[in-house]
Amino acid sequence: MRILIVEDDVNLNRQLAEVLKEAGYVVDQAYDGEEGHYLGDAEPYDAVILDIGLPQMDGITVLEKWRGDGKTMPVLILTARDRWSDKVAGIDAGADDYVAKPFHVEEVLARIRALIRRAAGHASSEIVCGPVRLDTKGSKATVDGVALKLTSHEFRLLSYLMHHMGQVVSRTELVEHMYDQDFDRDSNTIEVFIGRLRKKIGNDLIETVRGLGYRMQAPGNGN
Amino acid sequence: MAIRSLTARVLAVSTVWAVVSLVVIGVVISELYRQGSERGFKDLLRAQLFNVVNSISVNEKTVLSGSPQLGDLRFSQPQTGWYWVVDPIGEFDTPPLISTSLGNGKLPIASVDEVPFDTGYVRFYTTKDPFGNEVEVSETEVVLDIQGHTARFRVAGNRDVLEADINRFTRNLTIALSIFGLGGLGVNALTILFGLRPLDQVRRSLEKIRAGESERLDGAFPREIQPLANEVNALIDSNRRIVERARMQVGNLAHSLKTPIAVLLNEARVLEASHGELVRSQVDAMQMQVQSYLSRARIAAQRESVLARTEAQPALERLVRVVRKLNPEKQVHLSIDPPGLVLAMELQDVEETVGNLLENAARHARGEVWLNVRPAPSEVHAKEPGRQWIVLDVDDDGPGLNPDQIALAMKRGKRLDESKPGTGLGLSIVSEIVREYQGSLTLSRRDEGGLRAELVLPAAV
Repeated sequence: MRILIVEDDVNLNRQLAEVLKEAGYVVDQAYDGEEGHYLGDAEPYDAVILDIGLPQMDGITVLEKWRGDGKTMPVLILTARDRWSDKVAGIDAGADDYVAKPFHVEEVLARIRALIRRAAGHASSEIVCGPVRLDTKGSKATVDGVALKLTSHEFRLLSYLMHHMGQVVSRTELVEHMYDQDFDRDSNTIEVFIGRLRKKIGNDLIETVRGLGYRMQAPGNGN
Repeated sequence: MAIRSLTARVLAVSTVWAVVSLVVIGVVISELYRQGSERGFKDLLRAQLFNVVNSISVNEKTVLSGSPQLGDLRFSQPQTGWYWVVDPIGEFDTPPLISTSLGNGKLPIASVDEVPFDTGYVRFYTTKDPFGNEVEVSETEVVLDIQGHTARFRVAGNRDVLEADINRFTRNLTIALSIFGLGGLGVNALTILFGLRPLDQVRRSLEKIRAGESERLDGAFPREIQPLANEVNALIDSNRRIVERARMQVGNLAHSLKTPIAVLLNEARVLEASHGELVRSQVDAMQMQVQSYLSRARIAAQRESVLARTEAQPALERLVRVVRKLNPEKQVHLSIDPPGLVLAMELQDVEETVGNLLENAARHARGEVWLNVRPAPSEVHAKEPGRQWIVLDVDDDGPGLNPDQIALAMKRGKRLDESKPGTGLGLSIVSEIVREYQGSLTLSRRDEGGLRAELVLPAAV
């Protein structure tokens, strides 16, 4: 899961990034509106944390531009202005949720998790695929009730596949959502991680769709 | 001594001026009248003198003879102060001729050195007759025949007549001028009162502005007052701009503090427990201050909104749209009956009150939130006749609150549920705004379970 933080305050940006990375997300950081807009336009993010008061281009404009270009990723806006007229403006510009400053970063994390889950169409904080249960709140996964020991890369891969259960996910897509923009990407490493994951959760849950990518689904649900 | 009343000032000056000018006018007029009267009196005496001269002659026995017919009884009645006397002068042995009125008395003669004759050889002087009357004497000397017999002719008139006439005139003049002066002062006072009335109008307009019933000095003022009114309006405008700017700066300052507060708040978590707790509690205090100044600035802004109008439907629909988006798993129902209701409030305040209540309801609801809007029943109108009210019920199907919790919830900054996000200021902001508009906020338990927040807000007529 890859997240973009657009916040001009360096410290707040860092704090948000730390908490999100700790929770297993891949994070890109931008410090002004133009940079943020460019990244959001060019890279596929699973969610964006967007400050409203930004230099170069304000958050509302950035958001309107993204929505105008057909970008649909969930966006959480951060703002010091917490009057309802500001909330209305943010939501009308296309925001999905709203956190007023000052906030605990955990609150932002909780909201981001809920946004990602909702965007993938899951109502509950737990996603189940056969014997595998993914706890999005606790960043944990179990197989038949037994806790899985996963590296952070393996967890991200499993989380992304489970959020998009039943859909074919290409290798490029996986790479884009698992590494930040500065990472030297090699899609072959994905195969290695898929192999490790299959060993831990069982071979029949992740199906290789030749030429297209991978699909995760519970046994018996396939066609 | 400074006179503080404009009316008194103008009245004092105009009174002094009226008295001085009327006295001067009175003195001048009465002096002119006196001169005229004197001249007339002397002309009369001169005419009588010539009458006497014409009717007296010297007969063959060189004796003065003749009896002047002056047609005035005062010359024949005794001691009237009106006399004629003809005295022979020089080698001219004859008894003088004297009017009956003088009897055997003598009329004193002024010396020629003191009162010389004029060009017509007549002289006038004032003297006293033997009876004590002050008399004006006209005198001339005439040669009566070719032998050179000469006589002194004198005609005297009583000055009392003259003085009485002058005094009567002066008295009448004084009465007339006094009436005129008093009338003038009255007119002056009226003029001042009438002329200063626009100032009173200005005062009343200013009172209205202070009471918030009006925004500026309106109305047509006289040319002298209009610049003052313009200046006052300019002052009000500039004041409003200053206040607006100050309020904006308070807002900007408060908002700009929020990011550093957020940073501190989060950084405090990784500090050692005791230090972290200290920083956290101080940061919380800062946060409360920021919020309370922001809400104070907002409430100060409201005082100007006397004539605010907000259509309920679009404003509430917008809020419901936001709450639905933020809480996609909850259902939010909106009903406005009849649809055209208009609130006598600023849009912002409608948003703040209803928005916060909706947000609370959505946060605690199990699945559904209702916002029902309708005109207030007539018993609410009875509180203040002539004002219409609108009732807005915000209901949820959550756990609701018991009476103690309701009392606690209405206290400023209290949060019943510390585990759910929020500063706890939502409800106190709502009740402050509601109080500002003389409306009401009541929390109660719904019969079906859950909480009902009932807002009564002013309707625009």
